[in-house]
Amino acid sequence: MLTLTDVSVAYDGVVAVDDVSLEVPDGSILAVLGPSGCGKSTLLRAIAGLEPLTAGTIAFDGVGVDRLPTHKRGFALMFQDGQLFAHMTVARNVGYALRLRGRPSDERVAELLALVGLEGYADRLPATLSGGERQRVALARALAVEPRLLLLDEPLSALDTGLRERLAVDLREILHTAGTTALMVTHDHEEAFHVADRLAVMRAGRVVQSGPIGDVWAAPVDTETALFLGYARVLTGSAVATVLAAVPGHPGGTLAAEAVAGLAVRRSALVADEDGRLRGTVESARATPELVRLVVDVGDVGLVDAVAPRDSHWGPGETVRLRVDPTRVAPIRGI
Amino acid sequence: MRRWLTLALLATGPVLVVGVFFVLPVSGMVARGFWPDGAFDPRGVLDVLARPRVRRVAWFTVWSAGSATAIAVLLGLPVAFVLHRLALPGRRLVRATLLVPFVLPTVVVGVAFRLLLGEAGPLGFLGLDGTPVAIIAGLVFFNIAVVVRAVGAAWESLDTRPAEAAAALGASPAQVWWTVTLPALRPAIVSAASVVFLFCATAFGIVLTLGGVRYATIETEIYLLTTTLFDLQAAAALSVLQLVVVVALLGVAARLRATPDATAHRSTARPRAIRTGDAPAIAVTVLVLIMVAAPIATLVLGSLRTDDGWSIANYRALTSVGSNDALLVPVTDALLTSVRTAVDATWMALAMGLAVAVLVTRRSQSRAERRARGILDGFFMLPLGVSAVTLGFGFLITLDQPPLDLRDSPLLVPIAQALVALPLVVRTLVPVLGAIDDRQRQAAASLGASPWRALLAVDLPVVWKPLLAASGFAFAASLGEFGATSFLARDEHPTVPVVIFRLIGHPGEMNYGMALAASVVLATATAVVMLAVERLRVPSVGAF
Repeated sequence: MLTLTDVSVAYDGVVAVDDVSLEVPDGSILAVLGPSGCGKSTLLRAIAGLEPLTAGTIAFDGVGVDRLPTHKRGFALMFQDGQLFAHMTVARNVGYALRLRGRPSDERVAELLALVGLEGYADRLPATLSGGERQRVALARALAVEPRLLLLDEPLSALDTGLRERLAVDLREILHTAGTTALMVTHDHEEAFHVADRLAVMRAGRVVQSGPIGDVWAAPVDTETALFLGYARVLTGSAVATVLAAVPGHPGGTLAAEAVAGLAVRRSALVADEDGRLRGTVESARATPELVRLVVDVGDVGLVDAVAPRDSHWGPGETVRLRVDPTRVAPIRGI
Repeated sequence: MRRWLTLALLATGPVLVVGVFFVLPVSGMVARGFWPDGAFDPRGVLDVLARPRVRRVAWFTVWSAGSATAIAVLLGLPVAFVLHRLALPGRRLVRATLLVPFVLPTVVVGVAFRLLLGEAGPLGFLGLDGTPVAIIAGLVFFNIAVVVRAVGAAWESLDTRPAEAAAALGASPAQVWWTVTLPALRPAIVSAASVVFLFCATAFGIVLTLGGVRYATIETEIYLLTTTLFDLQAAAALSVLQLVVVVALLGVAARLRATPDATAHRSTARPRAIRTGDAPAIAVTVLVLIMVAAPIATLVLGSLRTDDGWSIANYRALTSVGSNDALLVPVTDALLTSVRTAVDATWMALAMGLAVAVLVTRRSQSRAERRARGILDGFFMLPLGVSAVTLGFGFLITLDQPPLDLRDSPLLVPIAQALVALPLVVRTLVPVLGAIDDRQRQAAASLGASPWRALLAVDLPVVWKPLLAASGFAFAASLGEFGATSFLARDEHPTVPVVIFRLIGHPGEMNYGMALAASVVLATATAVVMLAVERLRVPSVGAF
């Protein structure tokens, strides 16, 4: 288990990582999510031993590692763009760490290439690979000596959208198959959801929220976190009660209005439905391949996003009834 | 069609100049060897190459240049690391200091080393005066800056992440160096080594002052054969031999030189804090600094010494012609001549160098065009390696009859020096111009800028500093140029290096002191110019 206690890192007096405490249990994958410049990459580099700490401790299985140089920590780091060694073939890249330890093994390399789905690539040079293939090779290289912790720096960000989604699923499967404990940093909440079990949200050098990914998703700690997690708007004031009251089945049930300071709603939280309890006027409608996206003016709630089935037709000024999907709203207890 | 026209137009001037003032003299010199009496006689050339002395000279050239190159590279690597990768206080100043030897007049360096290693010198007890060790030390002193510059520039822009990735995979610092850093630096190291070998193998002033007659390289042998023994056939044979070797080496260097990818994002790594593991590299750096400082310090102290103790009498004597009328004009006159010549040489080298640099860096649209530009690039690098002595002597024998009777023209010396400085200018400008993304010019053009406006908006802001640096570099190089100048300078208008060489060879109590004082003045002038250039922070200066 990786344990960070009150870790701080500063560059020339500018604090990049501020008093961060985190835990990554064995076999789990923690995603550190945050906007660019929030200090998440610095945190990763500090764990890898590439940046000195200004305060705090890093321990693995209870043993402090902050004094160890990078190559003695037994953590593998995978960079955003793979950082394959351009002068070595794929097989030599993957076998690099094995050779360092004096036990080169062609079988192990073949096994790793099979694990990442790149059989037959052994003799290719990195320059001839696509971005996704390079990341797979980098992953195989990092896993070669079964590191006790795998650090992933935006592993999928350099790839295009379709590939990113596919590789995210593969990545999770590969990491679970290998039983690897991993910590990855990313600015993309979808990437985090696809790969990780646990989530830590970082902002301006601090961890503002952490926990199992479902818990964080269901209850963002504040407005900014909610927006960063992909919620479209955060409703406040009387709008909260109005929308909660429109939740079918249990008005005011688990989501008691008085305990909630704000309500984060996804873009698809309100659905056009003849039996819906909310009434509004369509401001604009836009068709997408899957559904129709509406912006609706709902009385005291104000402008909200809503969705309607693909085959429905809406024009500005029309009246629409909306139903609330309770799985797509999240209460925020402190704004 | 228009592209080819522009290419031809830009190329005409420099090609003509290099053709008339480089190819013509050098081939004239070579022809003198193969057609000794108007009849083709390659036999004579082969006979020359079979002479035992020639074989000895050739072997000495190869091994002295080889060992000097090896030492310069071995010492230069840790220095390049310390000065370009570590957050060492005052590293800019150290970098500039290390560049000074490279532009110091060769004669001055020779004088300084003899003073340091001579019987009365501080290191006289080593008994190295007049030995090959002294020559090799002098060559290393000269060329270590080339290694530090070239490798340092590559190291500075080297992505640190592959090394970090290797460390994260469990590689110790030594393993990271052997498996990741060294392979990445190899092109820069090999290219620096080939250039240093070239400089060492064609070194003239140093070998002449430190080796005397006993230890000669091909270059000094050519000088000896032409000026003392008047054996032109042998001299020509050696010139050809040197030319072949140099062209081959230049070919290798050009192949290995990493061409900057204009579209790649180049970043300079933040220098990192010093760690205890850096101690050996820092120790080597200090050692190199001492090695570089010692001859210079000895020279300065020596110039301030007379028989009656410390005084500036040697400097006062610079207004005289020396004891026993060693010179025709006072040293101060020679200094004026030197500066005037250097100014002329600088603008010539700059005008040519700029045209050449623009020529070879423009993006080619067809394979034929690219090949044409490649050939031109190699063509203009020729003066870098061809012996300045061959050039000077070639001037004398080919430019002495109408329509090109330039023997008495005051422009002869500047033209020769400009040719010697041309590769320095080109190599400073090419990386800068080559690094400008062509799409910037295309963007300017698409916004309605004419080619000239685009040049003004895109190229000029990037290039003015390197241009200034290149002119300083050319100026310093021409101030100290000795090989070609020693042939071409007329006795009544000598330059300072020529005067120094005459003074050390001329008996008379004041003459040696005057030579030292003149050396200090010349060294100071070039050092000041170089330090000013260094302040411009152009990374490609001195990186070949």
